[in-house]
Amino acid sequence: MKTSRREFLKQSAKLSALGLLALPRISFASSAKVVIVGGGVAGCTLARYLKQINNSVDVTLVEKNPKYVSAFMNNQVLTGEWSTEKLTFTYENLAKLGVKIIQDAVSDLDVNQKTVKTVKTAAGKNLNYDKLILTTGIDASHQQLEGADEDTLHHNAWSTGTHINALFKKVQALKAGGEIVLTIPRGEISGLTAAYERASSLATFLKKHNPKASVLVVDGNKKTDLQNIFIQAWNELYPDIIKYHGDQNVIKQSKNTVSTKDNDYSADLLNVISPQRASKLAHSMGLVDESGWCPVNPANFESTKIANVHVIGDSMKSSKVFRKNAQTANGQAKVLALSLSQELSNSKKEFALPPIIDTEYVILSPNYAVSSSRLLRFNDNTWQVVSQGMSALNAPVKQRQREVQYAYSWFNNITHEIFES
Amino acid sequence: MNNTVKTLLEKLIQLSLVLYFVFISTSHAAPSKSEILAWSCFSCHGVNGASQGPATPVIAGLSENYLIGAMLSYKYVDDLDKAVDILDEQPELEDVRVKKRFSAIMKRVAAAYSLEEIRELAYFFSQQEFIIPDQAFNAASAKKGKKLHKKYCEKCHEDWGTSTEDDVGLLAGQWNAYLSYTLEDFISGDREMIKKMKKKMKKMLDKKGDESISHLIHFYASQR
Repeated sequence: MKTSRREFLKQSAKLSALGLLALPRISFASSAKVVIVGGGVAGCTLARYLKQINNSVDVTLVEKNPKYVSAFMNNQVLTGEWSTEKLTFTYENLAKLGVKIIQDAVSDLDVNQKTVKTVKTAAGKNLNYDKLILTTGIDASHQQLEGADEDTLHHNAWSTGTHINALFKKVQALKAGGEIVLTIPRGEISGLTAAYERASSLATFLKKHNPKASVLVVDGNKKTDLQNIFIQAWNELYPDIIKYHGDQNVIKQSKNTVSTKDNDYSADLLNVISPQRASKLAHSMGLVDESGWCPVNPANFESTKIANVHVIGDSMKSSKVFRKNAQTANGQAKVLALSLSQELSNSKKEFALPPIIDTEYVILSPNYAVSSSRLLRFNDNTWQVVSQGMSALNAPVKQRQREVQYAYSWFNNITHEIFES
Repeated sequence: MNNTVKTLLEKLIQLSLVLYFVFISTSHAAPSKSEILAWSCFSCHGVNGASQGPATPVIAGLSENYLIGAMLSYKYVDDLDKAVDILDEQPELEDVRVKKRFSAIMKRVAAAYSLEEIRELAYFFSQQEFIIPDQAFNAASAKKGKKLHKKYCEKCHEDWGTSTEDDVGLLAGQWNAYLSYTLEDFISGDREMIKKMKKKMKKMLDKKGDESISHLIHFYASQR
């Protein structure tokens, strides 16, 4: 009995020693608080993957809207084929995975205290965090363009939400043979290729319901290979409907007229895509630099302005590597989920960051889509484009047709991954 | 007696240790290297390769050799001889087939992966369950397709197209848009068939006509 008791104690001592060694890792992981502000693609993908990697991390998602209505694919509403129902997703599945969902807006950030870091919500809640992630996207409001008013924001329909329905109503009400002017700003915007898709979706609808009407694209960008593939498609699909003016950057708006340095364009219906910058919240928190976007450390997307605050998605200053689109935000979120999990669990094991595949599909008609892709890797402490390509100008008809179905597949798979799996 | 207690105690402690380590490892649930690499594929091919369709194929549950062959065929789509040379240096990949394939998107993606990474990805997706999606089909056509499959396809695509034996593609339950693109490419020559498939395909089309393709697709879509 004596021997076994001693043996027991010896073994127990081994156990507790192991326990003590292992416990700090677990307890730190389980008490780590991650607060994500913004329930779009970046925020929701991040929440889902953080929970998948380590269920004990405390993840809170703060989002002011009760449901998510995607901006990507919203051009399909303008063709008359989709309703915003198809773009709408709930946060229920994320809640089931253990993500705390708070429907509220964030009003303030308190980083003055060394020990407790807190965000305040509009409803007066204080949320403490170890890591704060800002995924609040773009500010595409009317203030970004001289002379534009609140109505322009609705015409914009360039952010999450149902504004696209209001735009569609105006398109339906367009007088016979009327002219729509669609303007694309110079500089970095979210979903650039979707702007060319916007013109195409409008034309798809007009060709059927208002065939004498037209769309004039006033593009702040110069014509490059990117624009050429759309112009070629328009000449083929909508030769009498879409006209294109490149290198014409809109600098002000006055009612139904927009002005560039050289020209004034009047329209029966204006769809102004306004210049963009990081969200208002990113600005008020002091996370942006003179570019209007949030600079980050490329290894873990931590803000270079405020420690322990990370920024992914459209708000991030992209340094020309990351395009601002849903798929890039999705890829950045997976990268951040991995690096945060490693950091929060004090894990010594360093996994290579996964590559980010960014493919943008552009649906130009129900049987014609093109795409452009880039694949990014983290090498030498920076993100680099290691492969890229676009649908060829002379690609066969069957490829154009298939890419429409691949575009729908992409939409189904990415939204399923984020909101339903 | 003492010894028995000691042995029992030791057993108990061993068991607790095992449970303890299982707990630690699951509570961290560290994703594997291959899984992390595969995350990048999910937004187009579905979580774990279970595509939600309508056209991007399910890649979960395909054989490793099939997946390696597909990726290399895309990566070296403009210079397949190079892929053959690379495979020649890898005796353990002797069953991997590289063949001409029509590429809309994958050429751009595959170009960025090393052979080692392609093998990691192929391993990961081969370990996932092929989840058969629910698809609409025409019952009369599916019935005809079943007969055609038995006669012309079953010899290689065993068990009604559910088998991946000999690294053939999974047919049963694959998205029908994808199957129809693939068959269109095989027939037009944009995708190369192996000899025995070419022979069987010609025989079927000569005897049963073009509509046999559509019957086959309905049959594969009908499987659950």
